[in-house]
Amino acid sequence: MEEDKILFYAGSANEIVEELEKLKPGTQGRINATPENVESGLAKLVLTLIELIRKLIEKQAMRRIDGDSLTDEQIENLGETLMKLENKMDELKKIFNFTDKDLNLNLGPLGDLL
Amino acid sequence: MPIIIYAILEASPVNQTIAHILELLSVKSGIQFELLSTNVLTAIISAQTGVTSAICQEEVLRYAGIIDAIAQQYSILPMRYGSVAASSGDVKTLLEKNSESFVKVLKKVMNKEEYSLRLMFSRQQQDAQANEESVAVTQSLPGALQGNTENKRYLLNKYRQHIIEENRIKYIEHIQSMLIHDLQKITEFVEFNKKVTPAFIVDAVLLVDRSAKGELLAFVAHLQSIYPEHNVMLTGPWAPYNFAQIKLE
Repeated sequence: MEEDKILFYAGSANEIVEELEKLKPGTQGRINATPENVESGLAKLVLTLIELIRKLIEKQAMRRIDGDSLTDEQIENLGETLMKLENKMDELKKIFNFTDKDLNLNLGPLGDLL
Repeated sequence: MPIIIYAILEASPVNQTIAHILELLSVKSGIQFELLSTNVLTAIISAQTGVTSAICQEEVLRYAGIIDAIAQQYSILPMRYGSVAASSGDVKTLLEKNSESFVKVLKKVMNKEEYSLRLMFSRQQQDAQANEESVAVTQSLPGALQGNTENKRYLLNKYRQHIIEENRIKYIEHIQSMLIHDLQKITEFVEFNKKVTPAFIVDAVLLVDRSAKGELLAFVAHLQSIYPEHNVMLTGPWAPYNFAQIKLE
C-alpha cells in the first residue's frame, strides 16, 4: 500500500502489517482440482464439509452445556463422542496430508467458511 | 479490438477538463486513453494491446493507479481489473443498457470518497484477554463439567474456548454498533467486512463526503483515545469500489 494512503495509524505497525499480509489473496481456500490431483482436491472439499458439520455439532453441544440440563452420563457420552470425532478428523487429515488451514473455503464477501 | 474499461462517470461536465488529465496519465503510463460517451455517461477506455495470458501484479497496480488518479478529481464508478469489452460498440451498449443503474450509483458516490477503517486486537492484549477470560470461565463452570475424567477434561477445554469466542463476538458487536451510531454524523454508508483473522475487531469501509475528511480523521483519533489498547488504521481516500456494485444487464 502506498504510504500516502495511510491517513492514521496507532499501535504496533508491525502487527498491523502482519494482519494485512494475511488478507492478501492466496491459494488457501481454493479447491485446486486438476486431472493429476483430483483425488486430493475432492478429499479437501469433502473433509472441509465434514469439519464444518463437526464444528456445528460441537457448537450445539456447548449450547446444551450452557443450558446446564445434561446429566453426568450424557456429559461423559458427549465428551467421548466429540473427542473421537476430532481424533478421526486428525487421522483423515494426516492421511491426505492436510493441515487445519487447508480445510477452509473462502466464500468471498461472506468471509471464510470456517 | 478488445477495449479496457477503467471508469464510468457522468458525461456532461467532464469531457473538456478530463482530457487534460488523461493526457498527463498517457505520458506517465504509455497508454492511449479515449473517452466514449452516450448522452448521460462517459467511459474512460483504452485499446487492449498484446495478449495478456496471466494476471501480472504490476499491471493490476498500474490499472488501479490510473483509476485512483481519476478518482481524486472526479466522482467515478471504478471498474475492476479485467473489465474488457469486445469492441467500442459493446462499451456503448453497456452504457446504454445500464444507464439507469449507473446514474443511480453515480449519484450515491457523487463528491464522496471511500476510506478503510481497521481496528485490531494487539497481540499483547489478545494474550492478556485470553488469560483473564480463561480464569473467569474456570470460576463459573456449569456444574455438569465438574469432575476429573478424560471426557470431562476434554469438554472443559472446549467449553473454555467456546466462552472466550462468545465473549469476543459480543465485544466486536458492541464496538461495531457503537461505530455505526457515532459515524452517523459523518456518513450513512458504512459496510463491515466479515472478520477475516482473529485479530480483527472492525474491518469497515466508509463512503464519506470529500468535505468531511477532517471530521473523519478527528473521529478516528477520538476512537483511538477510547481504545488505546487496540491497533487502529485509517487508509484512503480510495475510489468507491465497495459502494459501486452494479448487476450488469
